[in-house]
Amino acid sequence: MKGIIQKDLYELFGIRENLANVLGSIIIVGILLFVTRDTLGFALLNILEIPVFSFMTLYITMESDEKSHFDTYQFVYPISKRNIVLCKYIIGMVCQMCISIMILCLIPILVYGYKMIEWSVAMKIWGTGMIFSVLMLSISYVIFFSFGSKVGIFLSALLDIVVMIGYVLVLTVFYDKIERTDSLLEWNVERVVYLSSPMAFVVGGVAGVVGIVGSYMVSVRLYQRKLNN
Amino acid sequence: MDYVIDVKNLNYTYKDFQLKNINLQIPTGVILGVVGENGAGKSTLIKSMLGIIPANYETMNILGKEFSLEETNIKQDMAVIFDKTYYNPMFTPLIIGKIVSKIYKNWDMNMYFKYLERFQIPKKKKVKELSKGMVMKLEFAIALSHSPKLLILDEATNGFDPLFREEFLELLREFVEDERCSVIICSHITSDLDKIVDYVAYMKEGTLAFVKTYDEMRSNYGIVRCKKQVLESLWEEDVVSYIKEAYGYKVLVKNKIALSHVFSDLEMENVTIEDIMLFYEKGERL
Repeated sequence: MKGIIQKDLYELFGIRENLANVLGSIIIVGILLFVTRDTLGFALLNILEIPVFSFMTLYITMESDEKSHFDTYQFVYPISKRNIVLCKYIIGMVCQMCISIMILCLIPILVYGYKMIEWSVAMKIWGTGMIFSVLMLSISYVIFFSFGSKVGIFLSALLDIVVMIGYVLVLTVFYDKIERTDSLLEWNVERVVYLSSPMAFVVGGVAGVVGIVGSYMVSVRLYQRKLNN
Repeated sequence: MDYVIDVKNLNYTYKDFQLKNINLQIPTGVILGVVGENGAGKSTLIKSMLGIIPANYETMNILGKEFSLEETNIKQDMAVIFDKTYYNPMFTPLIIGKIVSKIYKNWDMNMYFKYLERFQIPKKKKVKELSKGMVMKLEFAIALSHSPKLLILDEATNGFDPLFREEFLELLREFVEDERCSVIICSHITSDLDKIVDYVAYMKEGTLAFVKTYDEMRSNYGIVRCKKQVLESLWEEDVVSYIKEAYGYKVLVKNKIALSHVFSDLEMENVTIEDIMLFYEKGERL
């Protein structure tokens, strides 16, 4: 397994073009956050951008494997199909964790520097984002293992957009107090976050774990079936 | 006797192609040449034995272990070289070495660097910048650097220049010298196989037409050039097939010693693997 993980990491960070794509995405997201400087921007960053990084890592490595047919060749190695899929999940989760930690490090700047958000709200949004991104990773990885890299990236990006629209619509439908500002529409994210109880995070955490384990098992099945065909 | 490969009733169906009832027992420490025309099933057989495609079989023991139970252990002692590389073309031999060193327990980085030096492969040159021959040499270096007990080559020698081809054949002889290591080589370059193989397996339309030792093939099979009257006087069970030529017939016989006693004036030529293939594919039956 270590060899496959190392290979994937080389592809992500050792090849200039791929590294530029990854860093570029992080920088663009950072810029967007600091330009918008509102709670909605921070919420969207957590809930949408983190999953994008994790499925982007899978897209880059899967596309490379498909192009060079390494996805078939790797079966000559002493590594099971189950572990090959596990390697992809490990890298996705680690990348997601790294981005989440980076965002966590930004929170003091947003709270004490720009004073755009309260600490408790920021932590709740960050926590929600962690759970949500694990669930999004669970779904998008199944999509990739079902359809391959090209269709997978399209469907995962589409899912991300649908979720973003749905997230905004839910806030509109259930919370009618909308404050329009000169910058972006300022939605009542704080109200949503204040209403969420600690139990919601526990349930969400359990759902995240169940989701990722279930996703892995489904992905292994899909991967084996795809190879058999 | 220890068998490196012991396969019983292997079958595989994919669309309109079938591997049918493959039974193969090859002792340890030999070089097996698998030959057959394009589409005969050579690569499919290899992929079945590697678990790349899901074949059905009664038993499949490789290196003395049951494949379905110990696949990853078996593959620790196997190395496979195909006709091209599957590594990311942006990788260098150095990066590939680091990756593969984490995959095989027996990986020897010093041995790998020695092979790179011997084959004159630059460590830090990207794979996409290497010629086809150098890429195949790199694959060979990777394969040999974790001390495999079974080396499988599937059309791997196509890109070799004549000088390296001889060196490669010598490397294979060294590899099997201690009789604990074995080689399976699928190749269309039958002249290479004639120089080196101990066993020949001939595949035709998804079946194993025969598996013989090379010595047995050379001592039993022969080519006779004769007229029609002689052809008609040969026993059917001794004739594999014949090919009509401009001034007579060329006949492949499989009992040349006995026939040479009966037909003492018949001149018998020794066969090569290419001859066997030609007669099995293009020859007519009596």
